[in-house]
Amino acid sequence: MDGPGNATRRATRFPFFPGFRPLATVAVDSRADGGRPECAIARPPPTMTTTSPRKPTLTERLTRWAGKRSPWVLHVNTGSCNGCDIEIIDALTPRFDVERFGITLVDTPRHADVLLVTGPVTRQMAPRLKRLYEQTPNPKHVIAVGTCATSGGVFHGHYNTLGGVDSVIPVDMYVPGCPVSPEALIDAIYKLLEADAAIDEAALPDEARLERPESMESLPDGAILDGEATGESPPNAAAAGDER
Amino acid sequence: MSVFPGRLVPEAIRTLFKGRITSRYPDEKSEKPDRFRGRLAFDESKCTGCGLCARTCPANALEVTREEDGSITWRYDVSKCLYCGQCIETCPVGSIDNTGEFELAAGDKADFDRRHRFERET
Repeated sequence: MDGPGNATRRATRFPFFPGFRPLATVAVDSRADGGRPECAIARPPPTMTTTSPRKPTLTERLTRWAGKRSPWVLHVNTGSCNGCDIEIIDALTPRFDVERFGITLVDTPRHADVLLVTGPVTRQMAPRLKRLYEQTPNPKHVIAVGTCATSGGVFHGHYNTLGGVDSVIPVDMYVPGCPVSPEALIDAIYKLLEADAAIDEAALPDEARLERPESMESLPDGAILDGEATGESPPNAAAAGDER
Repeated sequence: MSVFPGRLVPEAIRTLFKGRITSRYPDEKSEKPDRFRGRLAFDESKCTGCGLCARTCPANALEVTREEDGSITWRYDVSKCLYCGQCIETCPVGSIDNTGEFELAAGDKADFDRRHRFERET
């Protein structure tokens, strides 16, 4: 028989889970530092920043390229009333069908690119939300879905909620709405990816910048691979685009 | 869901002649119902600064402050608003109105803080 202690010990030793630790060690004090709990984490730097002059590796670029074209989302409920959750499900149904954009709901944070967090973060859920965030591979994004997740909403200042997702993990896009409409959610993901693309474009060093065709559809499939492999991307990409 | 061909096949054939149900949202925006409640609009020419909207707001999203020089600040925190519309019903002069706007996503929380500052004789 495996008790919780055995399971935890095994998980801590397991090499695939660096830094894995039992939840009980994460202290939550909502009012310790200006309302931010101890388990709150700061915003990580984007994968490609202007401060690092190195050319992004092939893996980094492929990951971001794929993440922008098919952002896989994980739905996290941190004490929501289920209104926003139903709207998220609504966005997945054939009526709005976010799979048009390659968005699909995944079962585990390890497969996710985007966390859709609903609800004012309860004290019970805060360490778990932090763990979910840490389990999500980089590059990752967080969308606070709904008024509660954005600011705490009617639960603002309540004794057992922390008042918004950004009190625990960094948030990239806030979607107010009580509940949000599925269209507002699609709009938020669209705005998020647009902002993300702008960051990428600005952060790329000049010599690594691809001369992208105007339309995304005309981007040749192997453009990034070719460019990375040979180190001279712009002529290849442009030529391949013309052939199509 | 029934898997008997006797019911499935006619349904599948019927579906072939039905229209598309999926809305093409970012390209074509659907019409919202007339009474859809979105973000508030504020008309500061009508406001008297009575503060009834702030008193009735269940989420404390509205804040009306009157300063000594007679200026009134009407502050609306979009990120706390529940879109219940009680302030619209409460306002005695009808200075708050409902816009159907719902695409409110923003990456910066400062975008949600909307303030109107205007002069009123006391």
